[in-house]
Order: sequence, then C-alpha cells, then structure tokens
Amino acid sequence: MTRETPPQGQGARTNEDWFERAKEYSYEGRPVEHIVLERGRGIWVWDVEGNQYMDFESGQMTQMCGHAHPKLLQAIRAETENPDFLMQTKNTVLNVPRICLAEKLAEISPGPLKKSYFCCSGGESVEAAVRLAKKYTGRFEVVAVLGGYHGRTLGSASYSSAFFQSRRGYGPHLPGAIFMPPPYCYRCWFKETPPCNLTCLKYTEELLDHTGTGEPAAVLMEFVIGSGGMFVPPVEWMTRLSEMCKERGMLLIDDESMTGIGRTGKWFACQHFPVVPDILTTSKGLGGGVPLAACVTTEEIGNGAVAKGHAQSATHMGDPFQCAIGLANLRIVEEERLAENAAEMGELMRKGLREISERCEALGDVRGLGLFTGVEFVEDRETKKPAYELTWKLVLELRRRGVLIGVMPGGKSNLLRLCPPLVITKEEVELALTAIEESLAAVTRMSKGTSSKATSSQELLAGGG
Amino acid sequence: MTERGVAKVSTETVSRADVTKTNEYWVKLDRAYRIQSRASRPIVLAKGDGVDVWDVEGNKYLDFESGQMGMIIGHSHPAVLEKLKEQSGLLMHTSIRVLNVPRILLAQKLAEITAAPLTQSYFACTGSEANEGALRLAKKYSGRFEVVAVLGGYHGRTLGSTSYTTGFKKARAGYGPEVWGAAFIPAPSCYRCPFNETPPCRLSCLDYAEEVIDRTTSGQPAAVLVELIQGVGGLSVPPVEWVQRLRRMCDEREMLFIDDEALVGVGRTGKWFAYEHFGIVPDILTTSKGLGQGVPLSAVITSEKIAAEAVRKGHDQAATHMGDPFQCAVGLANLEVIEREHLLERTIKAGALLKEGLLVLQERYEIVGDVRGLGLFLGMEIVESRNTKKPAPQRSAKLVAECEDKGLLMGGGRMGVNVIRLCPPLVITDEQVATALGIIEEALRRA
Repeated sequence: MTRETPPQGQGARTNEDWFERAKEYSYEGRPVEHIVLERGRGIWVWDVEGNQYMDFESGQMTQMCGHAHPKLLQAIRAETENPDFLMQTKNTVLNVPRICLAEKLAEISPGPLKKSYFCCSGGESVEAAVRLAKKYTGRFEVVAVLGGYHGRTLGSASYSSAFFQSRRGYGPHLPGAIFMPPPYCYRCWFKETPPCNLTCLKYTEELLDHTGTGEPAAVLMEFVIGSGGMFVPPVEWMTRLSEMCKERGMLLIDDESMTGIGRTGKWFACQHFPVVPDILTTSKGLGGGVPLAACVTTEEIGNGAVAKGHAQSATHMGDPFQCAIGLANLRIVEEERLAENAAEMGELMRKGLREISERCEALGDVRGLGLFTGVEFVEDRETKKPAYELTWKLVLELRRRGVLIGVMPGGKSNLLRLCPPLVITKEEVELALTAIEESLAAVTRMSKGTSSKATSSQELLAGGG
Repeated sequence: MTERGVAKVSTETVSRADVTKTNEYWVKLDRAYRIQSRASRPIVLAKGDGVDVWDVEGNKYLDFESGQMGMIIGHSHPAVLEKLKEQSGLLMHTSIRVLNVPRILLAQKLAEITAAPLTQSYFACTGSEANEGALRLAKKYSGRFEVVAVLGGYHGRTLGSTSYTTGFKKARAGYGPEVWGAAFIPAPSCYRCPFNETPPCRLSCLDYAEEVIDRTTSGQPAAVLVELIQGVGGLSVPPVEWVQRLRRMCDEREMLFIDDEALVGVGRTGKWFAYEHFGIVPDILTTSKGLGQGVPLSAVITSEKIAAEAVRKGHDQAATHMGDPFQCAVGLANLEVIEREHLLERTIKAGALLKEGLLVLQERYEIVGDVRGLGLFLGMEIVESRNTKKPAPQRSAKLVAECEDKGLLMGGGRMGVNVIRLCPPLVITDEQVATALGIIEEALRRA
C-alpha cells in the first residue's frame, strides 16, 4: 500500500472517523470494511487516508472502462456544459439519447433482440423481463437455477437463491418459482463429468412435469452464473436447455447484470453459446457508474405483450442523462476494444492462476470467461472441502497489499472473484498475480515456485497507478 | 407559447448528424427500438432550463411535471451541473463493501432534516426499491409479514411494491400471482367519500379499516404502507384526524407506519416532508424522485431502534447502487440548494398563487370539480358536472393534450385517471404560474 498526502478539508479525516459517522446514520444491510474510498482512476482507487488499492471488483462490477475514464468524464462535461442540457423528462414523452441507446443495444445484441426497456438496476430489469414474459405467455411459473442471483426486489428475490438463508424473516415470496439444479460441473450433484448425460436437465424435466404445469412462462438464468459460483455451463447444457424452452413454449431470459458489456470478452456472455435468449437483461456495466439497466427482447415478444396491454414504467425509464452516459460508455468499450482486451487479459489471468495452482494445493478450481474469473479454494483437492478460513485470510492479506477483491466479508465464501475494469494492462495483471502469489505464500504453506518475479508486489504497487 | 430555435443534443454522446431531426423522425425510431409499455406523446425533449423544456424542433414547454417529478429544483441547475462534473472526476461508484464520504454526509443531512428519531438511512435508486427496502426492514424487525395498504396507492412496479399498489385499474391482469398478505383499506378521498361523510366526520373509513384488519388478517400486520397524499390516486389531502388516528392504530397494534414520500418528499409540499403537516412521525420514511434531482437516488430512513433490531436479527439488504459517491454528492448538493435558495418558502408562496388561480378557474368552469393539494403538489379533478361529480377521464385527457400543444406539460389525466397533476419545479416564478394558468384557462374555455 502506498500513501499519498491526504486531501485537505473533510477528506482529511481517517477511515475510522468516517466509519463511526457512517454507523451513526446508516444501518448495515451488508457488513462493510473500514475503508472509505474517495478517488479513483483506471483500475486504481484511493481511500480518505491516501491508501491506494487495485479495484478487482470494478466498483460493484460496474466500472468497465475503469474509474474516471477521461472520455466518460468528457461526455459528462459535454452534457453538463451543453447549453441544451436535459436531465430527465416525464415518462410519457421521449428524448433522443434514449432512442439512440436503444438503437445501439439492438446493434450489439445477438440475433433478433431489438426492442428495449430501460430502468436503473438489475433487480428492476429482471422484474421487467419476468413481467414481460408473463404477459406475453399468459403463464406465471418461472424456472430458475439453484444458486442464481437476480436482485433483492421481491419479483427478483423470489427467483434468487445464491445466499444461504437469505429469505429468513422476509415473509412469503412469489408462488410459481421452480428451482433447477445448477450446471456446476466442479461439484456436480449427479457425479458426472462433461461430456456427460446431462442428468441435471433430466431431473429438471421431472421437476417441471411433476411439480408444476409443465409449461412455465420462462427460464430465468445467468448464462454464466455469478454470485452463485462463477461457473460456465457446458455448451451442450445450454443447447439442451434452449431446446427444452422451445418444446415447452418457455421464454429463455438471460440475466447479464454482471457479464454484459464486454466483461466476458464478448458484448454478452450468451454470445459464447450457440443459443440466443428471448429476453436479455443487463445493468451494472451498462451505465459506467450511473444507475442504468436494460431489458432487450425481440419485436415479436415486445409487440405481442404490448398488444395484450403490457404496462411497464418507472421514474427513470431512460432519462436523457442516464442514456447519454450509457451511450458514451458503450462507445468507449467499442473504440478501445475493451471486450478484446478482457478476453486477452482474462486468459493471462487464468494462465497465471493455473501456474500458481500447480504450486499451491489450495486452489481447487480456476474458471471463468474473459475478465470474469473465479478461483475456488479447497482444503483438499480430493474431498474438495471448501477452505473458508483460508479464503478470508487471503482476502485480508490481499487488502493489506492493496488489492480489493470481491468476496462476501466475514469468511463465508471460498470463492475469490477477480473482476477488474476491462482497461487493465498486462503489467497490472502481472502485478495482481504477484500479489496473489505472495499473499498465498503468507497465509499457506506453499512450495516456493519458479516465479521469476524478483520485485515484490509491494514495491510494484508503490509505482502503480 | 412556441419559440422556434432548434435545441441541440450534445454530439459528444449522441454523435449523429441527425440531432436536428424532427419529433416525428425520432418517434418512428422509438417505435422500432422500444417496448411500448407506456404510450408516449410525439414530443421528443432535448433541453431543459429551470421550469422550461424544449423539444428537438425548438418548441418550448413549461414542465409542470418536473421531469418525472425528479427535477425538484428545476432543469439544469448550475449547482447540480457543477457537482455532476466534480464528483464524476473523483469517484462515481464503489463496491458496496466499502464506504464513501458523500454517502455518509447525505445520511447525516437526512437525519438533520427529518424528525427525531429518524436517523438511520439506506440508499437505493428508485421509489420501488426504497419501498421494497422499507417493507423488508419492517418484516424482519417485526417477524411478521402482512402489510396494510390504502386503496388507490401507488408504490412502484417491482413485485414487492406493486403487490401493495392499486393506483391503476386492471394493472395486475396477465402478470401472475403477487405477494400474499396484502390487506387494503379505503382511501381518505373526502371529495368522493364512499361512506358519504364530510369532514369533520366520524372517520367511518377507519372503522371499516379496523374491520378489514381484524377479519381478514392476523389483526397485527407488520406495517401500514401509505402515501399521505396519493400521487396517482388523486392528490387528496387527508384530514389531520385521519392521519393521527392511523398513527394510533399502528401504535396499538404494533404495526410500523411506513410513509412513502416518493413524490411529496424533499420540499414539494412546502415542508421537507409531508408528514410534518399532520403532526405525526412515521416509523419508516421512504423518499426518491426529488431527492436525486434527476440522478436515480432513493432513501429509506428509520429510527435507531428499528434499524438496530433488524440488523441484530441478521437484516440483509444490498444493491449495486446503494449510495454511490456520485448519486449522494448530487443528492446532497440538491438539498443544499433547496436550503440556500429558500425553496420551501418559495413553494408555499408559488403553491398558494397557483391554487388560488385554479380555484378561480373552478368557479368559472363547471368541469373543474375539485382543486386540492399542498404546496406545489396540486391536483385538479375533472368531472362531467359539479352536481353528479361523474369522473370525466376523456375530457381530462383532452385537456392535458391541449395544454401540451399550447406549451404546458402536466401529469395525470391519462390511463382512466381524471385528476390532472400540477407539480412544477420549486423554483417557479409568479410569471410562470400566471402563464400556465392562462394556458389552462384557454383549454378549459374550449373543453
């Protein structure tokens, strides 16, 4: 960790001061670390005391172009300095940026996905997608993946199951949710290894026929599962699921809250599969930090639902400001070929991690696509027993060395989520790998490898940013 | 009212040669790429300044809907524009597991402008999300799950908020089951009291509510979710006694009083929050639209006791944007402008002027059945005749459309609602009030 002279004024207070003040005025819906961030640039962020960190969580997974990208700032400046500025309109009139963003999304979305609805958050866009599917099909059951995460609003939380006992105390959720086994091949419930019999999907068919009408409105899933474990389903699994959807007239909804906008090396994760969803939702990375989410569907489904009287609206359903920034953000991803960079840097990241795993037993599995990488830590590669304590120690050690990494605080996870902004460079990837290797060495007994990296990560981090 | 002179969209973001195309051009493109889940008038706005907005052809309108009720201090306020630039250059957004300074300062400011003991905040983007956050908090805290809501209320379109929403007719058709445990009580719409009473009255509506709670629920729901002045349901201002008795009912039954101030919060009624007009303090307050001044920002505010107890029970609530530095810095700048420019006082004055003008119109025109509201949260109910009070939704839609053609954007008067909503930014001048009244009168004359 390096230090800079802390800014003067209010920023001169310490992390602890601010934490105490935060405790006085807000309640913890989620435990927080005692780090109060103040400034960001690229993949780097600084706290109020001037400590510098690499942000391997991209904010909360939104800063695709990195913090304070000059072109995004330029867009905000241009918007706000334009004498013809417009922030928001009532939702029964139109504005130009919204229309241009919808047009752009149609261009980058796969297949016939063409018609958009905009809102603020992933939860809201999933709600909109599920409502659309229900109205269009006239049905109401929804199939979701065990371990999937779609949001905390009731219509998205009812189909979420990523967190343990997270429904306790919140009363009834929606009826008609059917949970299918996850395509979690590293820990296959059915003890199969791909290429396999896809017993998990046969089990799903049993569920649909025996516990429901057999014809739900939709299957709602993250094509690459995020909070529930960062795993990529086999292509055959996706293909068979898509067939099942067609056979039963279910719509396939792809929630790309985390994986959209270049994260996996393509605009959308579904483009890694020969399957086009009927409805696609995306949020976090879409707005470049501004709350913006979208639900995109085909002309047939969009018009079909509207013909049946589909009503969907919100306060911020495509404000000119929201959409102008979203559009600028997409343009940066495109011009700077950030999806391509994500593919390349992600490969480098996983290659480095696999090398580390050769020297460290604790790395059970390294997986992911693009800059959406997960590392699962185990106590023993045979039993695959999750190494919760080790993972938490590692996170703390990494933080001490100035790397912020996504994991549930408090030692309840054995999965490290490595999702830096897509602008990350080769040097920065190597720096992070060195920090991970050194942190592992500090918290485990790891065989001293052939690592040629002579410089310590602490020295490197001092020169970073 | 029409001023020609084409408004230009910034070419940094919309880098197109066709920024000067017509409304009609953009409407066609919108049809091609947007799910038409809410009908739009063929007006494509491109510029805003204070109470004024312009469309792509340069037509000017007075915005009496304040954007979608978000632009509380007016379009393009310099303090907000400055803050947008400044904070985006520092830090827009962080992981939800670390903190940031603007979020802490905004929470502190909200504790300052709300009544004791409301001091603890949770931030999100929209009204729906704030209400979901409030309801989850109430459920976790109380260990119960039933919720009492008021007929005609609007709380959002996410399933946990829409299950308690009844503002629009037949809005549930085709969307499948909603959350159970919702009990609905009659609205205090005194202009059309279903119990045929006139205030000061016996509050039969609340006697009926107690029946509903005792006979159709456990008798002790987790919470009552209420807009003190219903924004979609007609802008009726309830008698003070109604609100106070509802508060007592909550105390007696240990239900939490959740006050949804999505539309009325942050100065709209001439006070920071509408509950101040009724001499009560809610257990949980939610507010959104005007809070972020166009940036998606909403808040749940509650007491230390409720927050601490829920957290002790393991309360879990999070979202991607739960108080980003960008969101909160703008929100804070917005609250500071309301204070610095004395906009609460301005709201009371301008609101009185507008209401006075509308009451004059009511005397002159038979179809204006009722004029009501507080501050700059005013409604005008359109009826076929004053005696029968028969709702005239078509005439009201026509009136809104005609005013739009003459350069005045208003809310409501659509989707079968016959109450027109007049909610300009709080910075409105007396002249702008007069201009709007002139346009309305002209439309009424021809209605």
